[in-house]
Amino acid sequence: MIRGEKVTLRARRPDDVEHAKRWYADPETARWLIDVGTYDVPAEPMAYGDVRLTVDDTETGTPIGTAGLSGGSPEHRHAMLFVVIGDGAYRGRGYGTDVVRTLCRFAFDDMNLAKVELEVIAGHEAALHLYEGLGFHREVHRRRALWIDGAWRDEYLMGLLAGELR
Amino acid sequence: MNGDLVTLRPMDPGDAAAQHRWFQDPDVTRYTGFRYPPSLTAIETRLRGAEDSTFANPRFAIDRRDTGETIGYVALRDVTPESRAGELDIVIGERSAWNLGFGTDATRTICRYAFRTLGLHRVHLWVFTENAAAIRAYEKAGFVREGVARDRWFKHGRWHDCLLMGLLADEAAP
Amino acid sequence: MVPGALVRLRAPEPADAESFYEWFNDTEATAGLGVRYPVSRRTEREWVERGAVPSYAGAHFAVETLDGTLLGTCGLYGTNAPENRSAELGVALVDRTQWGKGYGTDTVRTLCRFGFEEMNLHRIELLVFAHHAYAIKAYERAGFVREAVARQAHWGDGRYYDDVYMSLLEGELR
Repeated sequence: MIRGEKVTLRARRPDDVEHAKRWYADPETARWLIDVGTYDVPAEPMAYGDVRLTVDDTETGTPIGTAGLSGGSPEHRHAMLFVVIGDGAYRGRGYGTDVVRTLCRFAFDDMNLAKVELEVIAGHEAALHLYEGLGFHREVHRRRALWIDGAWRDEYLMGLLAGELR
Repeated sequence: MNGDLVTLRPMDPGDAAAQHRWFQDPDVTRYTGFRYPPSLTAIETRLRGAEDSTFANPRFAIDRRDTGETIGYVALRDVTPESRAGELDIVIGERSAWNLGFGTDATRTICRYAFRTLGLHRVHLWVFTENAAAIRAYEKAGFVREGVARDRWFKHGRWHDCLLMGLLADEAAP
Repeated sequence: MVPGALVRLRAPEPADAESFYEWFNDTEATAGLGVRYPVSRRTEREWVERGAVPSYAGAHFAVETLDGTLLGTCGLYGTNAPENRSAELGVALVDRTQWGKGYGTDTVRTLCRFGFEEMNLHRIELLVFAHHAYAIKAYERAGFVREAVARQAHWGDGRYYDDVYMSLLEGELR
């Protein structure tokens, strides 16, 4: 387990899939998702290239979302962070910040990555605020990058170097 | 990629004949971990099926720069991305190329690749303690003796002690 | 069953997987083991299945007290070069509530005795973090000797750590 202050990040299991279905069906969750896909429960043990986790609220043990580091490149030592707080009751209360900070610490301290990157849809103010508060820099502004829900969206690529995590 | 005396290049099936010849020569394999001589077919199959160098196991043939002759191979094994460490494995198979500095140069070249291209933190190797010539070459390339594992490998009727040598990124020559 | 003075070693069973899942996800319990990524139940189940038939190439055991309380796992690994008669020892007593009772030392002794007397090993080696003084002392009590320090070989907790190689040869077990 990877322990944060209020969250626990753990390996996925089959009974998480039901929770994920509920999360992705919630329009408030879905509007900021870049790639939905299915909720994979990986067969292989987690490794450098592919860390996919379920987020539990530590106090109740309830799954509240998902997070991970994908596409880890051993040569370039970076990976793409993703996080979805799927349960609306846990948004806006610091759980997201806890997940991202904890996962970044894991990325640097345990995986020895040099940089964590992520994509965020322009206009997702809560997320931008969260990432910048932890030290992420906006690096690239991709105009009209995504077609979501009937409209074009811009997106930002953000990055955090080892040593910059606040 | 180029050293001063050697070039490291990807292996291909055309290397099979030379590799097969080397592995039959007991003087070549004396200080390696080899026991069972592989067949030419086995080597060809492996070379055909091998992907290009991967991060976990980069492998190269060694060519002399002066004559272009292929004289051996060098590889890194078990490269772990988190700890950024890899194990060096080198064989100079052509006896005519021994004691001319090719081994040292190939070692330096792959270490430069390890640190500059792969961004590794550490390269280590195991060498039989009685292989004084190799130990000297590795020390010339900057490797530091880290300790001796007793009776680590059985060969030629007895156990052999093996010396662990390591080179860290900030110790390597640029 | 391989009986010791305080513990015994047996083959892992499916019922063990749930406990292993909890313990191997406990960061404090696994601090000395180099476990990085959270494990899934499936990983533990599959490990149990693979280990269900301990053999020369991989002798995995579940460790329990003499009255049947599960403590963790141990094994002798990497004996796929039977010519060397050498194996790497691993002990993971990951139930923290059972630490400090002498189970660790007895597990090491029992496992080594098995390695020498049943598997006919000549050498048992292990890797331990240089800063784990407690573990190093426990191994030395059983007769292990420090051989080499692999400098900055392991990344964890935001920095590089040294690994110490230790070994025990047949006849040296205390």
